[in-house]
Amino acid sequence: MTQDFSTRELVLRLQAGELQALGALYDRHQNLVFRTALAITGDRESAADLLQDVFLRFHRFIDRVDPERPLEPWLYRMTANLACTWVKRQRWMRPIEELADWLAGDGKESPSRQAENAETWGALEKALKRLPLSQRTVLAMFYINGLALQEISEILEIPIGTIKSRLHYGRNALKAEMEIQTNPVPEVGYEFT
Amino acid sequence: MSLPDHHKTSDFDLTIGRELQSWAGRQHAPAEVRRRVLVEAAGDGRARQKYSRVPIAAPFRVVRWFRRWLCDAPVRQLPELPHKELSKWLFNQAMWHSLGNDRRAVRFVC
Repeated sequence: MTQDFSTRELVLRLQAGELQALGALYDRHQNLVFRTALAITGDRESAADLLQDVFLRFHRFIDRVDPERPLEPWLYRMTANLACTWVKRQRWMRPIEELADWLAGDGKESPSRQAENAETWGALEKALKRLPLSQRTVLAMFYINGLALQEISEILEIPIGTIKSRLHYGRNALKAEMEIQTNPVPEVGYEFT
Repeated sequence: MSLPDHHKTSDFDLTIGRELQSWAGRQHAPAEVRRRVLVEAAGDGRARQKYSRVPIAAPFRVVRWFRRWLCDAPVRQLPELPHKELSKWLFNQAMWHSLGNDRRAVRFVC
């Protein structure tokens, strides 16, 4: 059974055209990719699309994958690159979605917006989503994937000093965001005299 | 590698790390993605991507089409529909033309 093979053997089998190996590799790494994409995009549906995209690219470019090297860095790099591209392009997508909602004119919000507004995201996730993209990516890799600074530096191809700096500022911003959410600024009551 | 003071593990670091990992542990990839990946990978021996959403480039084409369509609006015959229906029709038309008459893609959006 393919489940018993090592990642190296599965990559070799996939390179030989055995599609079952792709299923086995997917089963092993799907959550790694999905969780990273979800932490960066903050959108479940998009994370699922990115998961699909990462594994289809993996299949398409399997001949370029070196079976002797660990697979995870390749997956992390592809996920981070695609997720960051998605977030950047999303800035342009949003006005179009709003335009479509306005044109529909029924006053209801899109399902994705409703889901966002629902209390499905806790304080931590909301705070994470407010961080700049560069900091969010590093925080996701450091805290969620448990990668070392050196590994993050190699995956993102960014100097380790920059990784440290993004982690430092991201952590501080996250802390500040969470403090605001847990201790909101009290409303000021004005008295008219 | 030794880290400067502000990179050393603090209580907040531990809390955040624990909470983020706990949150991540509860997130699972949707089951249908596996089937989509394998079907697409198997198709014609080439991995052709299909998204559950419209390709990212499409909205730009939508905007261009809208602009062109609205500029020509006086000479066009709009169907007699209530505002809400007309809006949907207009958006459908824009998507229809901008997405290269791909009915499946239009259905996903509209």
